[in-house]
Amino acid sequence: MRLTPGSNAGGSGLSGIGLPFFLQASVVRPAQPQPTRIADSLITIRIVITGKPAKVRFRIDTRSQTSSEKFGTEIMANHIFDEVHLSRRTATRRRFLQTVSAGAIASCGLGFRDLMAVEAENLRKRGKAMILLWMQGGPSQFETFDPKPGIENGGPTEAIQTSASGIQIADNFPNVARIMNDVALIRSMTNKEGSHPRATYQMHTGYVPSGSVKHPSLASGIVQQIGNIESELPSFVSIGNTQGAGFLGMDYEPFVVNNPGQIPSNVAIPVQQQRFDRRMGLLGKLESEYAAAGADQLVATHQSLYQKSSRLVLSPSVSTFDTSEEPQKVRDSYGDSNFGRGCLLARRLVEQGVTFVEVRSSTWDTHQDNFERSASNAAEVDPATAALITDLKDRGMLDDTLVVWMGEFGRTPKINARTGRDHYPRVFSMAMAGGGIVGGQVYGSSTADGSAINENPVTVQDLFQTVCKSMGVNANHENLSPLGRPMKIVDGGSVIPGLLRT
Amino acid sequence: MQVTRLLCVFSVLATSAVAQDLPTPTETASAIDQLILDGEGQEVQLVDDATFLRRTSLDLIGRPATPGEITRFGLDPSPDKRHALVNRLLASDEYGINWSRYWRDTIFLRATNVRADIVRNDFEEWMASSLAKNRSWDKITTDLLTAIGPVNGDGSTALIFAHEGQPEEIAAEASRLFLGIQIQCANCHNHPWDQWKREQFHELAAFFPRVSVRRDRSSDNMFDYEIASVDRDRTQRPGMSQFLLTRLDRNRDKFISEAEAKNSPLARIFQSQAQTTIDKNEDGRLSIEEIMTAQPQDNNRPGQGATEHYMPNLADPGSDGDIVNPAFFLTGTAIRKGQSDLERRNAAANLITARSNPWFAKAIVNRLWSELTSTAFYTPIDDIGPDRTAEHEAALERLATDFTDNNYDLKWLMTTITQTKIYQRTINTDVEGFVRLEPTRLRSDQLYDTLCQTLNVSGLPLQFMGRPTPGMRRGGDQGRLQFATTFGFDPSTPKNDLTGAIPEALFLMNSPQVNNFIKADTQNSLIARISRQVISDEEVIRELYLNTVGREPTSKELAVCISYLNNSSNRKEGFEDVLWSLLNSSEFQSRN
Repeated sequence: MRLTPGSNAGGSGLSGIGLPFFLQASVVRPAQPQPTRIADSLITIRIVITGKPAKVRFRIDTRSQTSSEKFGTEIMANHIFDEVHLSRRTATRRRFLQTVSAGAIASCGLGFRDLMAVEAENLRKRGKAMILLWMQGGPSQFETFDPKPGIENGGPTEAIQTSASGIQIADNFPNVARIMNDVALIRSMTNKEGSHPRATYQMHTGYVPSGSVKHPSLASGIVQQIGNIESELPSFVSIGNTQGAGFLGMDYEPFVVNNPGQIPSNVAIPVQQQRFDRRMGLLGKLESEYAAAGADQLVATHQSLYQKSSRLVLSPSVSTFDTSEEPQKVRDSYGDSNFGRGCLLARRLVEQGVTFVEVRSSTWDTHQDNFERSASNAAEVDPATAALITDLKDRGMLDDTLVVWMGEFGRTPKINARTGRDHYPRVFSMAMAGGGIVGGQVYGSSTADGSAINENPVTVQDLFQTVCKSMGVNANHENLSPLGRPMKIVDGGSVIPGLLRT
Repeated sequence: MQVTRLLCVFSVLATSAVAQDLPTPTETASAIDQLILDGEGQEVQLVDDATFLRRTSLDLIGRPATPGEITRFGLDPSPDKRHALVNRLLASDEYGINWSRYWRDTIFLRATNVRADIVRNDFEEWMASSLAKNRSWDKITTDLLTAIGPVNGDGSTALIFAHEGQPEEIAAEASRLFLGIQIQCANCHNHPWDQWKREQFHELAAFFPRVSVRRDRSSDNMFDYEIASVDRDRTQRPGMSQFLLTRLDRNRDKFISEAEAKNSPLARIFQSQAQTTIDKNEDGRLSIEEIMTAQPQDNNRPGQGATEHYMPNLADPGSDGDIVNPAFFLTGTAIRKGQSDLERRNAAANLITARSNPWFAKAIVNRLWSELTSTAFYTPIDDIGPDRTAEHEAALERLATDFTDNNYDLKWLMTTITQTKIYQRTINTDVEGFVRLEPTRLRSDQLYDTLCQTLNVSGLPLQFMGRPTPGMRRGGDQGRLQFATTFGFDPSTPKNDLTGAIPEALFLMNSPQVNNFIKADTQNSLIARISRQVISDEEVIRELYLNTVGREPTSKELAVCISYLNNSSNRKEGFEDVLWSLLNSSEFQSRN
């Protein structure tokens, strides 16, 4: 039998709005959920959060007639747990069910309040997550977070006041300006790589490229350390292609989504589920024949890969990829753009326990018409970034979710003949929020003409050290390259002082 | 006395070898088998015809045999049909195409130049034709190391272009690919457990500093590049001397105007971006002083052609470092100072491919042996050399020596390896060592062609989502490219490390492309074709097995499938599900 979340009167699904609020409330102030009735095919749970009722309905597929009501309830409880299980490495749903008797849940002997009490423990241990907002092409610091109005290098871009006193950013980012108290800026990033591929590689892996070894991306390193192997969803999702796991191997490769907002390609099963299950059964039988013929190890690996894959396609969590489940209002706040949908998807994925999500905006290589193009890029990126941070905060997820906004380098102070700016790794800006970042501050500065670092230079390694610290990942952890050379997740650098809450 | 006798035997053998013609594949193959099997104290069981046919076809031409080929081969009574098959496969165009794709992945999946794909198709064509003509391995190697001229249209530029002419990257890859030695570890520090020193790595790089990869100035197409030699020392450019500058400055205002620079070597800076960097005070004019001080203090511009190679000074990373002169780390051979780009690169190619250098032959022998037999003398295949210990070293020595005596003939090597018992052994996971054999994953192109052949289509209708390549504009197979974004891997990866990934499984399980061609109702689909020819359930299943995994089903498999059919709501669906299961089986996706 299969249980699918229905929709409430307001059109929002369970994973969209109901439970995360509920959970949040349950930590702060115990909520009073009231399981109301168990009817033939419909179970309604009313959850009241302080002054904000949210009704969530489940529809049980009654075509599977064999299920008893008790069993239905148990599956239901499991399912709820799927939805609410936020911890990654700590207690998984399975562990939970081992600890608390399944029967107790099934018979509703264990109230939701108790359930939440158990879960609250997990919430405290909740795994960290990171969302990388990647500005491919190299965004101009002058048109984003280090505007220099009134001087020749600054161009026509104006600076606007933000909610954090004393911090001004470019007028292209009015929405981010409003939430600047949650955002820390770094205006003194410095690096040497000025070519897109090399710098992109370095800003993803922490290493400069070399033909002899494919370094793992930081994301893969993080997922290797704190990702949940048991998760039905992949731990590392990238919206658009990105740097892969390098020598860490297939287990830590990103799951790439090309059309954010929609169920990814090849995840929808091509036939009815019953037939799909039969196919898998037949495959298993034929495989065991091949295994008996001597290919047992290959078959074992293959089977585990297929089990993992079918778990994903049959998992109710797959609907996480479908952002149309979100209320219109929420979708509007992120913006009707690929990047906006990507950010919304990132939040939904992190909410479901995904450890690392990268979202790409890819048109920042503004060699010409820098000002118009930066503004039009920002028109997508600004609302989405602000909505993401706000949304995470509203859901109580911001403290555990690090949001990093950056590109591979900055752009030249000098405006070229095509009113563009060229590559400039010497000094550029980036932004961070959540994950223990102290918002409303600027670290480092550039000189008045923007051509050099004025104070507190930050290297790629420094940045990565800071990310690892925020994520609770040991940056000194060594992985062995295929040639047996130990390589640290981050080689060198030190945590940027004052950015993280101590 | 024992020793003397052995020496005598040896000298007789040696003399006879000289007197005789070159070692034949059969001789070498049986010698290798003996060395290995005696060493392991094991016997091997040889595969049946069907398995041999599928294995050899996948290995040599990159696709399995068609059911027609399977029948013909099975019915062929000739005792040396396996040998004849190998010859036939090596003579087909598919051989060159298959292996050109292997080398394309080997080189391009390590490319450090993001634009490397520009020359991808040209490389495939050039390599396929070189292999089809059986150009010897030393000549192919030399071509790759000494390529010069326009990149587009000349696949031999691939290796240099894939690394943007960066001398250190070229040196590292040349050593890895052609010698199997990972000397680049010594780039930054003396190797912790190998004998190579930092200097030795940089001496190898010093063969390549004068390589310049740049836009092809004779072309208007911005994606046209060329490999050029820069043999002129920038620091001694005549146009930059005080004397010449004073003469050019006709109005004696201490500034050089564009008009004054006309027809002089200096005219170039007025047409290039260099102008902005020379004009330090940004007054729009170039003073003599600015030009003089703008002289490239920096002669060290890797990838853009520098007259000499500089080894970075680790104590002072900001400095240029020290000039090192070319020398070959394996022999210590140095070349005369100040040689031109092509002299240096030809010298490097000669030193690498020299018959006196055993590692050149050993590297390619070990690589092809590993690809064909799924076992290797050295693992990983690109980390060999005097500091490593080989399995069955004598067998490797023998194979490498005979290969060298056969003038680095790649088809000879393929023929020899496929004739060994080790190559022809059955799957066996109960033992260790060279007799052990586990099925290995197909490379992306092999699987793609296997799928297309099985499903009776010329390509899969997939849209390429990556960076467009010039080959695509010429109507290349987008499906193959997109398929490789999911299924591709570096062929130098040890076989045991290849485990597959979720998107691969998802594609074969669920993709509309594959599932559409599985359907019995799709025009000309495999099931539709089979159903036209045979009637009984059993016959259809036998055909499905032949078309997918190249063999007949066992009686148990047949029973499983029949029972599945009987429990299906209709026959068509049942067949579709059997085909789906076969396409998703580990056997279909691997070489056994």
